[in-house]
Amino acid sequence: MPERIRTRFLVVGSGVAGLHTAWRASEHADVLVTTKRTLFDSATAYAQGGIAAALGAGDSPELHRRDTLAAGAALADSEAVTVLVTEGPARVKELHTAGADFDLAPSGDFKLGREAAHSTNRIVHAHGDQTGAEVARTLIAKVQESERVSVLERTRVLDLIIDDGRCVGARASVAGRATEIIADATVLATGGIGQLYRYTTNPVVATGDGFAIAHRADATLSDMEFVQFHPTALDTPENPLQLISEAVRGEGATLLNAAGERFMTKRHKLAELAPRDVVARAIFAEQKRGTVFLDARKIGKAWPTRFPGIFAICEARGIDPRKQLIPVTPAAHYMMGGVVTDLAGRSSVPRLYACGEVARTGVHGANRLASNSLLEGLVFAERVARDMQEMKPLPNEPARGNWRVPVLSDRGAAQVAADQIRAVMWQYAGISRTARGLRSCIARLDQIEDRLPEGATEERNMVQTARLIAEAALLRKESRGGHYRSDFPRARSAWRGRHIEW
Amino acid sequence: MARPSHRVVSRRRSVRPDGLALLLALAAIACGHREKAVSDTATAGSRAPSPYVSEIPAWPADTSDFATDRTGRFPAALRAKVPSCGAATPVVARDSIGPLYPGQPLPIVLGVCRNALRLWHWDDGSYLPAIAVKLGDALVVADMAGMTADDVVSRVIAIEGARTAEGIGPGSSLAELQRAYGAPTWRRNQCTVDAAFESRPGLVARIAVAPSTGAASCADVRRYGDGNDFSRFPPGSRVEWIAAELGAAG
Repeated sequence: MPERIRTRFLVVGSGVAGLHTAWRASEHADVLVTTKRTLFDSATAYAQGGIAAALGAGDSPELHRRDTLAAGAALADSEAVTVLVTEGPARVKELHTAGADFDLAPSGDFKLGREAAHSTNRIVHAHGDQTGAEVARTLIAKVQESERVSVLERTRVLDLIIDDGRCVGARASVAGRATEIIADATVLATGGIGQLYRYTTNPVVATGDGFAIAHRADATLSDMEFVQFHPTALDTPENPLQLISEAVRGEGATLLNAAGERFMTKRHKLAELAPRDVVARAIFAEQKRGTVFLDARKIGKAWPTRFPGIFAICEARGIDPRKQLIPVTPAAHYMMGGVVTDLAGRSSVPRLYACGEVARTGVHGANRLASNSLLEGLVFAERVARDMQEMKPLPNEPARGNWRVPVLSDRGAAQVAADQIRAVMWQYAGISRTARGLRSCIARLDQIEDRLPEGATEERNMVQTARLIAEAALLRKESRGGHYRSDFPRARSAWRGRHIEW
Repeated sequence: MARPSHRVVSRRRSVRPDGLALLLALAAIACGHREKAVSDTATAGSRAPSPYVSEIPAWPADTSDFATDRTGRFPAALRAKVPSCGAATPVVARDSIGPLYPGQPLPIVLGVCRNALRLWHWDDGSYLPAIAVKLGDALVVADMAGMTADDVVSRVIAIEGARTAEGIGPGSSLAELQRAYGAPTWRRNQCTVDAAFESRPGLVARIAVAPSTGAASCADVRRYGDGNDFSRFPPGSRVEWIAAELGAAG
């Protein structure tokens, strides 16, 4: 028989959204946080960008709202975006007060940077490119100092417990022990899907678990076809890959194909500074002929001072960017779709909430504006925490189930399956998609799932989430935002404002 | 896992972006076209490097003086404004018509045909920004994905006077079309129906369903637009226009 834990609130995941929810909800009740590895393993800690918020002179939530809606390519939710941009500044200031060491100007105000598609300077950074790590450090400290937050590390949530149509907790493997966690409210904050792709900037824990778990619980998911790819990650055999910021291209670095030819000049007037999706697709196309390189040698001696972080990353891998070409590849970066929530973070299943990358709040639409992801995590986690306070306790606990944690019968076979998922998704459901390729992809995913060894719970989540992405991408016969169909390269009016729901 | 079942919804809270935002969104969408390689190297490879116009003139207002009618056809006054951009009548290839090709950036289009008429071309329920030129005896329209220097041609259309190497062009019968390219893949739009062909990826034919006088009879399209059989179309149905379009065979 499984063990049983009773808590007021259960938070699954320990990125910015999960930690912020736990911190704020713990001011009123006991909270249990579960995480697959440790508190420090999340995409949040990897975020090199910053947090966008209308904090500067001359900026306003309305300007931020317009930029966000524009990036969303007619699929963003106006009300959700309004919530994001109006509540965002307060969340950033709150985090600063909580101890986040954000970069400040000599005046003491936030030092605000600018990023692509923002109409003004509004990006808050910490230690340059360490914003995510600083946010994670601050929130982990708040969670750890709270006596009302318990943390279960190395805990895999297997499925939600649905009783009489409501979510009453989760079945989990706590260090291998079958455990039922019963909660008055459950929050999915499990992050994204980068590990479904061969190349990704997301950590190894980003295997799309929350999407598959929510789908099996009949929660509504939407916009799963919209995946954002970053154009230039360092092309090494590592997983995850290291980002090479656009700023390097901004300093004059050029992209060369395997023949040593500069190719972006033929693709776009802005050449290497073309929009991310254009650069990513151009590199993806050139990779069919061999490795693509970033030539940043002209930065020369300024490298260690101009880009110290990236310089160190390259040096650690035996690449001297002052003298050598840097191999680069596009990489899966962010999932815009997910579990559909209302403005309070409530999913379609009573007592189940979602926030962060696993949620589809509507703020990103078909494409995410840079530095809006940490902001979304903070803003909607706050709303979830507030809404949960009103949740009445469960009238009665569900009967204890009779189940065991499935034992992984063949770890090697599971790893092979995961690699196959990553390969097929990259090939057919990645940067450039076609109907034919997506059909092949879905057929391959079916085969992979059929051959999964017993107990491969994470890989089963991977294949199920991958299929949702591929099926949605096949259905949306147009190109919009992060979804590009080379057989339907234009946006179509018939699809404007329409979402594919599961 | 059971096969996922889906539904397509329009959420109440989903809105279009407002003015500036919409323009930026269109530009972002247009960016998606640029990297598409032109596949038919027989014509694309022989092109000389094109001049480049860095200043894009403003598009004319969306008035009847600069717009096709709502069947996509050219009123006489508009037709008279279309300038010539070459004496030779081009062959319609699956990746280009003369010097114009899908994916071509607007500054290059205007560099190749400096006096090209900028207009609004009706297509299945909305006006698209487009340019029109005469190439020999052919009237050719290039639909644009937008109106800025970053935007590209999404489709090049032979409205009249140009034919493919197989002799297919505006006015060809459906039987001739099928003989030339085999069974089509139908693309039923809101009020139009197009035919694409596995044997000629990139080539698209808009069908004028008889007895309507244009290519945009919603009733006729609803009546005949499904299925994959030319014989379902009434006698007299013909090719309204033929175009080279990115990825049209998909």
